[in-house]
Amino acid sequence: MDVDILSRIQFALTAGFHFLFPPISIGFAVFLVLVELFWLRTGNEKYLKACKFFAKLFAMIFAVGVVTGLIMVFQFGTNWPVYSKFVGDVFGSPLAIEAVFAFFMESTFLAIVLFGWNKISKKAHFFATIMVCIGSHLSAVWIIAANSFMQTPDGYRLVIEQSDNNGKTEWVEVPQGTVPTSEQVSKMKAEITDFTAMALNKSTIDRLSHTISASWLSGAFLALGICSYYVLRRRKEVEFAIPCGKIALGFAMFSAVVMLFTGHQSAAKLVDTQPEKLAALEGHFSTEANAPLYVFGWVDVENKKVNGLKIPSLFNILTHGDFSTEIKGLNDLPSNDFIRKAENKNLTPVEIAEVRPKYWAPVQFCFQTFRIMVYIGGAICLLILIGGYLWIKRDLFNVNSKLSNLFMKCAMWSVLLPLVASQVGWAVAEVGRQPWIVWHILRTSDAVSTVVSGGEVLFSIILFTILFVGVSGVFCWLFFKKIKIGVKF
Amino acid sequence: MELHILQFIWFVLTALLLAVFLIMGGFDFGEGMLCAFSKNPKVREHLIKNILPYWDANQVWLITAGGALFAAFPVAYSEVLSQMYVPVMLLLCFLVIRVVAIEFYFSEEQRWWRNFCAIMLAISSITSVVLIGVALGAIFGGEVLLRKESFTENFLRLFTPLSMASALLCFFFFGVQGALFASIKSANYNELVVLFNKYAKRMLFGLLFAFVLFAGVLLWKNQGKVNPATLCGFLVACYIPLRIASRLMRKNKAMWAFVCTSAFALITVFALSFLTYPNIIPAVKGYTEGLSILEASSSAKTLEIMLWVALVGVPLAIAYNIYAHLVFSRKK
Repeated sequence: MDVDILSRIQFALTAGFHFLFPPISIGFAVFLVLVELFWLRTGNEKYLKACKFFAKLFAMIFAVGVVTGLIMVFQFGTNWPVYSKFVGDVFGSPLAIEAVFAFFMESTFLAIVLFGWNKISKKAHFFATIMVCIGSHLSAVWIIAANSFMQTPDGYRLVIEQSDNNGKTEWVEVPQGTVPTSEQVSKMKAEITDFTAMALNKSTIDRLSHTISASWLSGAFLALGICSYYVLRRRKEVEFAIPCGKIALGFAMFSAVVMLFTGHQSAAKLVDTQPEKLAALEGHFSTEANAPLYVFGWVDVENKKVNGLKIPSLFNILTHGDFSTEIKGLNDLPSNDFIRKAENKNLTPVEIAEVRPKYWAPVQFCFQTFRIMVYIGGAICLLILIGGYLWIKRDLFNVNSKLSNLFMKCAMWSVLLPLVASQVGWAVAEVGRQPWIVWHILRTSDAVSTVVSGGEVLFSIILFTILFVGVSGVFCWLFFKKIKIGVKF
Repeated sequence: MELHILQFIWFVLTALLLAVFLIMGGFDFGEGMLCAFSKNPKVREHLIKNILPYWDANQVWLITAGGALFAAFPVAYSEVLSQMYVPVMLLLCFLVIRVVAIEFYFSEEQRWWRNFCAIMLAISSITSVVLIGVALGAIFGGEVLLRKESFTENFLRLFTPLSMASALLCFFFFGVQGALFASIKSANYNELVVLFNKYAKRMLFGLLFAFVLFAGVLLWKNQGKVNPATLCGFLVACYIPLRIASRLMRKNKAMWAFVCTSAFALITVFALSFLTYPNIIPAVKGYTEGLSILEASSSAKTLEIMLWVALVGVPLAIAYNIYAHLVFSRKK
């Protein structure tokens, strides 16, 4: 296998494993702040016990998140050096800012939260917890800003290396909208022109709010699952499990509302920013108005259609809010002009139609994973609604109510739901961007290392697979053990 | 600001980041290494308890160094990392194992688990330190850019006399930092102070030896690249704080010795960086031209943004660190 495919697998492996942890820690950090706030407000010892206990769980998740993140920082250089050279001027700074402004805050104050219980005042401790929470959110801000640059690049210009007669080289700006050919990539790079425009590009805010709300759900569901476990097993911990479970459920409700809204926002925005991606998500081939939405189905890529159950007009309503606006389909995306530019040839329409599929993301994969994400989101909302109903009926966490028991059992297992949704959601966002690593500028296949051999990448894949299996084994064993042991009374 | 001034500033800052990582990571990795030297569970427990509040922030220094290098010198970042693919991957793996061993040590009380964690911690710390030493030596020697075709040859090309000496130097330096920090942090337990001071003295002896070896290889491999007198002057300047440190250790003044060895790291990093300037990766005669900051750096705009980030962010980060150290040194 070649370095390109292997490097993609390797990145998916390391990023996928890493991305299991930060979403939980972002959400769980907010939960910690809420619980500690309740302690400060009520002065009730049970909240203090809960704080200490949950903070320890948080530390375990955070630790694995940090070290797997460390791998990510160096991966861009090891496997994607061409990419790193090409966009380093633009893409490097958010990563450095993330480390300086977010990670130091998070890691230093977490140490205070964990080991400072008896050394500082209650309020100083609460402040430290808030700082951990802010730090974890800031890290999301900068990494999403960097990633959004890859989706909807802005605030940069492309320059090409040119040598004059004296053998002196200098960087000359190329016209806007140039798509470097594979040969040009090594001589070109992106330079920053406007930092704010780069960081706050067209998709940053939508993607950030969607990712953060999904992270809140991950944290809230973990807390809800643990609390449900204690209530179901009728353990002593119910003392704090019931009030904390309520905090978690309330938090989950809020997050779910934000998540639905932002999810819709980020998908609808695609029609302007990344129409090919949207068309791939929906398996939308022919340009038409009044487009239907497939509830489920199977994409027949060869015949360019989807077989499945559809709801008429819904796609149109969701993206444009009306029936009449045309939505471009994959048959016309990307535009003829763009393909001519990207191929650097004056192609006839027939030739363009032939090469066009090269510029599509894997349609089947995007279509299916997008649905998985949306349906898991639906399941999460359903569970939260049931929880809300029980809460109103004053049956929440009541072990004598059948529905409540069922709810708690589901909540225990549903810890996994937001995690799976985050993983597939992230996969959709990144795979939907293909074949580009930076949208309409740099191809993923051009960005991979030219010096690393396939054997070396394969070696690293095997190494990381063994490592991740080992780490997740140890993590799960000790994490569940800690929950089982619970709190000393 | 002008590009060449910014490039110079960032060259200095990169060296500073490296020095800070060596000093901070020094005690953290060093204490992990010491787990290999004592089988006594109490000593091991004490060592790991010492690192527990700090490993995280120290790890972040490493992430920051990676991020800063990426932003300021993207070409150097990509060249170094992709050319040293296998060692970097191994290093990353060991860093993960190290943290898992520290973080989960206290999660299970059974003897076998504690022993397993301590051994993993010792192995991963030692291997990481050796790999860091080899990598720094290979970068400083310029061999990093000499790509070989086969998997093994490519890996082995990094092991030159200079990089081996540098690995030895790193090993003993990290060991000294670890032992000294452990000694400072166990002021309440007399027998532990005695033990850690003993380790520190031995490690310091090894460090002096390794430094002399490193200096020897440097002079031997110099071949007229640098004026020998300048080189000798630098080496003496690096050597002085080490001598002072070993004097201080005779009187068991661990705190001041720690300051001296930290100064040693700072001076050495800056002296060696000065020797390569304006190159980030020096040339290897007849093979590579090296990589200078002129071709490796980002645009003036990015360097300026990053400078602001550093001016605001790094003092903040140091402030958090100091606050945490103050909180933990309170007795209650």
